[in-house]
Amino acid sequence: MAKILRIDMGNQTVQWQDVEQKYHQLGGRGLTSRIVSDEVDPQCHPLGPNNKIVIAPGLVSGTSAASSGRISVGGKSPLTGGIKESNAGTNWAQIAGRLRIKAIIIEGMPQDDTWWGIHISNEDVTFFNADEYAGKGLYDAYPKLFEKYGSKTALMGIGISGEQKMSMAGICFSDKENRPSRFAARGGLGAVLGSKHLKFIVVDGQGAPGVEIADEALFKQGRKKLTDALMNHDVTKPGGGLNSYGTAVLVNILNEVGGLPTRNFREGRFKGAGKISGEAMSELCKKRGGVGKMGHGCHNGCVIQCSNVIPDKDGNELVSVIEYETTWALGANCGIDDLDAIGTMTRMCNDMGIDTIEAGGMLGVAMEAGLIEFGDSKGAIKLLEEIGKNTPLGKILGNGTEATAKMYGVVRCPTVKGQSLPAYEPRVIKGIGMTYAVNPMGGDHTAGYTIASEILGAGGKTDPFDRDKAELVRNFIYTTAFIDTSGHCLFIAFAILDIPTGFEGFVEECNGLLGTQWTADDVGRIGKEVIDREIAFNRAAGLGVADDRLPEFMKYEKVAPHEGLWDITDETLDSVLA
Amino acid sequence: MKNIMIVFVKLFAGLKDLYPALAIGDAMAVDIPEKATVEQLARQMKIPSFKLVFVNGITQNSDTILSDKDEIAFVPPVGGG
Repeated sequence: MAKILRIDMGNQTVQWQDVEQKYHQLGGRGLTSRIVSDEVDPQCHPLGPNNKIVIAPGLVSGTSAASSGRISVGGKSPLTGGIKESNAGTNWAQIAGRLRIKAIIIEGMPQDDTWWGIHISNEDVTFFNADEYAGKGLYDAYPKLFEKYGSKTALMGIGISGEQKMSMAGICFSDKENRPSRFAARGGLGAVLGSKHLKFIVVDGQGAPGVEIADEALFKQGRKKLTDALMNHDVTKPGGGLNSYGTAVLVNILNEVGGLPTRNFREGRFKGAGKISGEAMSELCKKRGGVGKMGHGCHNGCVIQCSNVIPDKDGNELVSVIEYETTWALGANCGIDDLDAIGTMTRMCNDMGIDTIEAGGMLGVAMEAGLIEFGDSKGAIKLLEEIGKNTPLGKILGNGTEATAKMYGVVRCPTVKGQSLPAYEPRVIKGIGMTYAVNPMGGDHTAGYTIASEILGAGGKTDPFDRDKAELVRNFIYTTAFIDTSGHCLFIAFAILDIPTGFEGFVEECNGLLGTQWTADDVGRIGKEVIDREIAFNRAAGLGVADDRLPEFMKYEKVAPHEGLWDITDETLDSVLA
Repeated sequence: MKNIMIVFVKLFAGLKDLYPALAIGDAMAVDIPEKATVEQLARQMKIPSFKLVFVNGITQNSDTILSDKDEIAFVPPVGGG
C-alpha cells in the first residue's frame, strides 16, 4: 500500500503513515491541496513554523501511462498569501510513484542554521548535511549529488533564492539527463522550503515496488486509448507542433493576434517576436548543431516531448529549456529579442532556483521604473546577478514583480494576487483574463488554459474578444484541476478535447488504477471539489473577491493593436466559480 | 481581366518551410485577384492545409473575402503554454 511520509524538520525525524480513506482517490494537486487545507492554518505566516510543504505524484505517475510524470507541490504561498499548487514534469514524480509514496508532508523548522538534504529509497529515509551546497548554484550542486547517489535517482532542490526566502523562488526538479531545469516554479514555494532549511530531496528508484493498479486490464485499455490519441493529434504527435517547435511556437501566433504582452504589458505586439519564437529556436538548433535539440522530453515516458536544449554559438549547451512563457517573460516583456541573452538569463534562473515568469515580470517593472532601459539585455543580466549576490537591490527584485513595483512606485504592475501575469494579453483574450482573475492561484495560465479554445481552436473555437465566457472558463478550471490530480501533463488536453476516445481512455486509466467507476461527469465534479477547497483556504487566509480582479491599469489603458480594454464586469467574474 | 491587389502573408511553424527564403515572422507580398478568398489565396500559394487563419490579427475562415493590403497569417495545428 502507498504511504504518506511525514518529515519533521524540527528534529529531523520521519514517519511512514497509512493513507486516510479520504485521501485514497486523490493524487497530485487534488491531494496536495487537500492536505494543505486539512493541516495548514490559512492565517499562518508562509515562512513561519506552521506552514507545510506537501509533495505528491499524480494518481498515474510512475505507471506506464503516457506523459504522466507530473509532481505536485503545495503549501501556503509567500507570494500570494493564499494556497499554492505548482507542478513539474520530471522523473522524480515517476520514482516517487513507484516507491509508493502517496505524499510527503514537510513540517517544522530546525533550531539551528544547518542545511539539510534527505535521501529516500525503498530501504530507508536518511538525512544528510547539505551545508557544502549552500550559497552555490544548482548547476554546481546537481552533478555532485548525482555522482554521490547514482543515476537511478532524481533530485528536487532549492537554489540561492530559496535559501534567502525570496518570493520568486521555485522548487527545481531534475530532468531525465539530470539537469536542474524542471520547475514547480510559481508562488515562492522554494522560499517555504528555505524557511525549513531543506535544500534537497533525492529519491532513489532502485528496488521500488511500483504503483499498485486495481484493474490492470482496464488500466491498459485506457492507457492505449489515450496514448493513441496523443500519438495522432496534430498538436501532440511525434513531429507535431509541440514536438517540432516546443511551446514557444505560440510566440508568432500570439504576436499576430495582438496578444503577446510587450514591454511590461504596454503593447500587444513585439517587433522582435520572430527572433525569440519556437521557429527561431528550431532554426538555431539546426544552424549551430552540437547538442541543440528540439523534441526533448522532460521525463521518461513522455510521448509529446516539447522541451528543448538550446545550443550556444559553439554548439555547446546554453540551457534547457526555453519555454514559451520564458522566452516571452525574459524577451518580449522586456523588449529583448536576443535568444542568446534569453538563454543566459534562463540558465541564471535555473541556477538560482527562480521562476522565469516572475523574473521576467519583475524585470519589466524594473525597466518601467527606469532602473534600466527596455531592451537592455546586459542590464537585465546584471539585475539578475544582484539577486544571486543577495544585495539590498537583489532582495527587492528577488521578491518579485509586485514587491519591485511597490518599492519603485510603478502603477503598471501586471499581477493578480501578487503573482506575475503570464504571456497572454487579457485585454485581448478575455477568457484567459478571467482565468487569471478568479483561479485560486493568482496570475496563472495553467489553471484554466482557455487559450486552447480562444486562440488554437481545440475543442471548438471561441472568439477571444467574446466576453460571455464564464462557462468556458469554469469548465477549463475544473477539468484542469482533475488533470493536475491525475499526474498527466496538461498538454493531454488538446488530445482529450478533440478525440473522444482519448478522453474515455483518460478516465479509464484512472478507474483502472483506483478500481473506481468514474464517468466524464466525475472529472468536473472532482475538479470542482479541488477548486472549492482551494478557494475556501484563500477566503480563510483573508483573500476576498476583491482579490479576484485584474490590475486596474488594464481598465483604462488600451493595448495596441486592437485597442483592447479589460471590460469584464465584477458580477461576471464572481459568477465563474460561484 | 480582373484587377489585382496585394496582400501580405505570414506562414508559421511547418508552413514556413514552403517558402524557405521567408524570414521567421516576416510577411511576403502576394498578388491576388480582387475579392479573392482566403481559400483561393491558400490554393495559389500551394498551402496544403491549415488549422487557423488570421486576417489583420483577427481569426477568420476559408470563405473570408480579402481586401487590398490585408495581412494574413496561416497556422497549422499547434499548441503550447
